[in-house]
Amino acid sequence: MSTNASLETIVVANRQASSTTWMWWKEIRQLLPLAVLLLVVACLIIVLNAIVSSLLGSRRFALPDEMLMLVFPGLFATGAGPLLVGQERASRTLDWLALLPISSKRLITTKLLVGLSGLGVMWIAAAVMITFFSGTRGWHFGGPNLYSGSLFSYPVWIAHSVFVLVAGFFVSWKIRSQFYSLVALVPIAFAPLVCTSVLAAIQGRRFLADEVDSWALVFTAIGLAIVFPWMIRAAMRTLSPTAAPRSFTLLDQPRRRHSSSVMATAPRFSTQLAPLIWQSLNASVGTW
Amino acid sequence: MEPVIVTDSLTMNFRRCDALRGVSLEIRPGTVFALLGENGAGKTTLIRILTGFQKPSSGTCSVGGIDPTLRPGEVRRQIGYVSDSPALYDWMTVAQIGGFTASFYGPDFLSHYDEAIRRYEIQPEQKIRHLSKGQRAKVALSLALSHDPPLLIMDEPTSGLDPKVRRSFLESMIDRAATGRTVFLSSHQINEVERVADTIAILHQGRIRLHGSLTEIRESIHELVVDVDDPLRAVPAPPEPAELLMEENSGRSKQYFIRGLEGDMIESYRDMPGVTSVRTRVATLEEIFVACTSDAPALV
Repeated sequence: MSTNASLETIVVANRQASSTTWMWWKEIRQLLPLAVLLLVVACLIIVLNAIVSSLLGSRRFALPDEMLMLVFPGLFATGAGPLLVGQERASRTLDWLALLPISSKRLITTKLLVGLSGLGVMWIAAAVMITFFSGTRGWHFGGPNLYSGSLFSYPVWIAHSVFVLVAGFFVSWKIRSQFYSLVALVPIAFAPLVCTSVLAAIQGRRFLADEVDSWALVFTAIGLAIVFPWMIRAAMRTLSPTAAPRSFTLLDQPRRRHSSSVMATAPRFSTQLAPLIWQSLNASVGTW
Repeated sequence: MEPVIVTDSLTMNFRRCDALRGVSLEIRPGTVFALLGENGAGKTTLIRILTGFQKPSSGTCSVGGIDPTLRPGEVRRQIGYVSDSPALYDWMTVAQIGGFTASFYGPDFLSHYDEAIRRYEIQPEQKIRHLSKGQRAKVALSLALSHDPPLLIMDEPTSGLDPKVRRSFLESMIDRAATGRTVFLSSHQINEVERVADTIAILHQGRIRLHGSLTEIRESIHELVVDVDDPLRAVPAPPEPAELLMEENSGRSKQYFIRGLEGDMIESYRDMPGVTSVRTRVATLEEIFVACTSDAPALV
């Protein structure tokens, strides 16, 4: 009975829902664990802050709530691409998805839009939490001061998180290994901030000195303008037929035909510990 | 009738091996075509090219008149494809993956899928990750068949299925071909292929060794056993147009698998000095497969 009910529910849902709805449902469902995890951790930190503040009567040892504005949406932006693209590539579900009558463009757009919507939700959630726990105290356009005296500059961080999200999609489409794609994301993500700080050092001013550091915004916008078309190109290439390896020269032929023996290539160990260490090291390299 | 699949001199060179070496095939509509080959013969590479996942190093191919290397999306709309290890979303339930897939096809998809799932006795509310290998294969098959594609491509489709389901599944392939649809299956299960295929091709080390109708191939290849009085006595290979596929010596007995063996050739063996007896019979498909996938002598 439950079997029939389950399929009937799907049949009814299918009559009403378009393929776009189903695709959004699938992508959101894949992204949900990350979003929920980050929101739960953010809530826990805020509650912990509130408890510590009330106990000590001071916010001196508490993590500033505004930090969440930077950290959690930023973490979401970092993880969205690897989750929606990298994981699908690793588990080969992307190949199965590519067999369905969906254009590559639609697939890429849906994934990116779901990622951007998720990021929007994360920013809204962060803003709501800060307002709830801190009131409107200290709110202003650029954000409050950090311990260093620099500004949080909300517009810069929001723009930067969008850039990180797109960069995350780019590295996930470009690089099959999830680990390598995350490694590649780090320098790309920090590039606009590094450029801003270098420029600030040249100009002899403090990094993010103004409420809205226009140079940080400019560098982030430039980064976005560069990474976005790269992301589209990498995605289209991934979803297109894999190109055949380039042709080989005649010099390669003997090597390709030659079959090496196990005796010649097998590693040899003199102790029982050595193969365990060798295996651990090589497994790590293989994963990377 | 125009062939559904045409490949012309397809080659695929990877860094360490040549997966395909000049594969030319033509598959007619309304047939069950079986591609036979050992592990690593190049079957999956050929399927990846036909389904638009891989570009060949050289050569051309078309599926339903469309080049899959240029328009993979259009080819995939026409086909149902089941890989040997189908990758499905394991967090979805059987019903959800059906609903998701159905949203991209016509209104009949879900009712066909529903029928298939009931026939295979799979619970729709079960998550894919909780299914056995065989049940996963059944779900993948149901998804690939529910939009009733004119061409079904399957890579080792019956691995993981129990004998009962395997049998009914293979019989359903014959029914599909009878309604004008084409089935392309790659396998090394000779018994299964023998039951269902109209046309076969044997792929060995990236080359097509044999291609044609199963009946013709069966009738054209014979085992010839020549007994001689002295184990060291040489017996010549059959003259052209006969083709020697495989030769084995066992003491005073010499066994040949020959394509195009004629009556007068048998007589000429009988008349040879030192020959004590000559026996022939039609080779089984398994023997043909072994003969074609043995390295010597090469069949052109």
